[in-house]
Amino acid sequence: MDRTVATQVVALIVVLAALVRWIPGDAPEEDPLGRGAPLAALQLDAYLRELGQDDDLAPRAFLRWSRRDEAQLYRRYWHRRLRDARSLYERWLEDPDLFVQFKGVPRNEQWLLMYDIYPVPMTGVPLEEGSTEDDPTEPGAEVIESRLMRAEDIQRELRKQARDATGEGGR
Amino acid sequence: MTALAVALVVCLLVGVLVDRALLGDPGLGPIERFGRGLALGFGVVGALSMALDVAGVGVSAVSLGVAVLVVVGLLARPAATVPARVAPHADEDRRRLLGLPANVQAMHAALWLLALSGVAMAVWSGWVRPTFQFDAVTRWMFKAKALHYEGTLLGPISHDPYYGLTHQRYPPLVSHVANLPALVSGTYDDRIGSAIFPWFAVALVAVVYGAVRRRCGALSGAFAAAWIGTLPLLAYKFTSPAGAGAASAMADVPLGMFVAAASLAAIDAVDGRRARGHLEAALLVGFAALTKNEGLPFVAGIGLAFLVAAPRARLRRALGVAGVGGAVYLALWGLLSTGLPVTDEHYLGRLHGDAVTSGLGRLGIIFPDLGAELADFRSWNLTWLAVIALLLLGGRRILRPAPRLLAVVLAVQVGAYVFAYVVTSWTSPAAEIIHEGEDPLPLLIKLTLGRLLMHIAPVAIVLGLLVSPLTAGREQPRSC
Repeated sequence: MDRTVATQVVALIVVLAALVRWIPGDAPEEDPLGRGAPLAALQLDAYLRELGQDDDLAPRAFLRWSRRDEAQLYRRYWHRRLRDARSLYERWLEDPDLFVQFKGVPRNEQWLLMYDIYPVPMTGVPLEEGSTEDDPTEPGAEVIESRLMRAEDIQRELRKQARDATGEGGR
Repeated sequence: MTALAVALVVCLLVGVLVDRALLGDPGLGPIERFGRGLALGFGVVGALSMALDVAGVGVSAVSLGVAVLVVVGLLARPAATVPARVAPHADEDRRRLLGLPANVQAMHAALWLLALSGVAMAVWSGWVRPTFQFDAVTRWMFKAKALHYEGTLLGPISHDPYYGLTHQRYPPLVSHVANLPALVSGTYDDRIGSAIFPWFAVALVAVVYGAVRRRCGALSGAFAAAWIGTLPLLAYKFTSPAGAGAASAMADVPLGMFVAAASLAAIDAVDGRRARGHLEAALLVGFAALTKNEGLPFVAGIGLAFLVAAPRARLRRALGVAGVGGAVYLALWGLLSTGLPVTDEHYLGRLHGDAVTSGLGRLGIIFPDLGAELADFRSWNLTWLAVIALLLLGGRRILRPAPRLLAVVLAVQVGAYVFAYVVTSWTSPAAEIIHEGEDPLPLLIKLTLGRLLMHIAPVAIVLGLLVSPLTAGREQPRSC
């Protein structure tokens, strides 16, 4: 086999290897805290909606979801978070004394919220460091509690909706 | 879009001027010049922004704009006087390519199409997606946002423990680069800021193409471009846990680009292909160290590589390149960062006997996981298996100066990463849930190993191609 043919063979292997992206996934990405991976899909979803695309095709494909109703549930909470962050910033520009207090927010979610809310002043430690929703509110603080549902909460709500739909919700 | 385009053009202009005026070897192909210009431009403009911050001058469109104009003014005349000559080997490559059979020329075009499709996917994804990777949001983009609103990274964002989530000691070059579009537009939008990251991958592919083309011919160069441009982790595998791809706004692809560009400049220097390859390598080593902590072992690694591979004046070259690179790092971040809060990822603080001896048992976790990652088809396709095969086929060619230099760089980086895994005290809420009462290292490896390998994958691919029997026969006499 001369060098040209060998190069073509190797190049063909690289082309085939590049096709790996179309191999179907075997499972959703792991999300140990039940709130990490969906954030990516929801951010994408929020941006696409801003562009005027009003369906959840992209985030469902992104997370390899087949269930449209799950995506709708995540979306609801995600939009609220972005809307709140934007509103907070506008209010802080008008009232520089405004600040945010986190109560009982899990660490990873609080860190993402801190990025969204910055430069509005913030206080409050994450859930893992002892913060709870029952902490006393500091005077003048805008309280933020956990906004995202855990995966198990989503499943619970979906089951409840399914029961309601079949008339079993009253049992 | 306009802000991003302006930021890219400014970086490219500065980089091309630095390349022509200081490094004095414009006789490269247009694609390589474009890649080197972009790489140097990101480094120089980011470093200028950092220098303003260190000097106590607020980073704003005006202050950075004036600094860039001064640099452009200083470099414009020397750059204009450099003759725009074309390197003889570039001409030879062109003639050789045009003289090849039609099917080989078609293969060249197909490989380039593949390379472009890969980086285009990264560029497109970086453009349409907001920042989605957790670490990218909480480290690099958080600092970029703080830099935009505060005009400095030396305020509370770096000193207040409340913002410890940003890893305050991490060197912030990419955050300064991500702030450039916001400086142009006047408003912070993380979608635009993060969209600049995939362009590091564009620069990487162009630089590697040029270097391999000059050594092994145009077809090999296109092959290297296609190989790197379609690496799943670089081009299109965005989801966690790896999430280190070019569109993720993580600093791993930028570091991989600086490591590759510096290493390729270094092998040009040891082969005598470029008169100022040492200076270029030194600058890029400094930028690598300013990009991520993992760039620090590269400073030592490139010095050791010159000691092992340079044909003469080894100590002077090693001290020169590593010294200049280290000085750039110390002046713009290293000295400053010693006063910042320490995190559990402060590996230099774990350089003591107890941490090492107590962690040696982790090697039984690290090496099997490393093997599994290298064979992970979804993240790397056949890359690492192919590199290992090419090295085996190459035999003694690895002992030539250029491959030897690259091999030492790879060995030092891998050694540093293994060492970090041995001594780390890292943990997280997720680790405490998953590995309650057990060593959290497996989760850390799962989250980070793909990113770490991204730093060295381009160098490993070039090394494989340089020693490969397929491409070694096409080398110019000076190359290896």
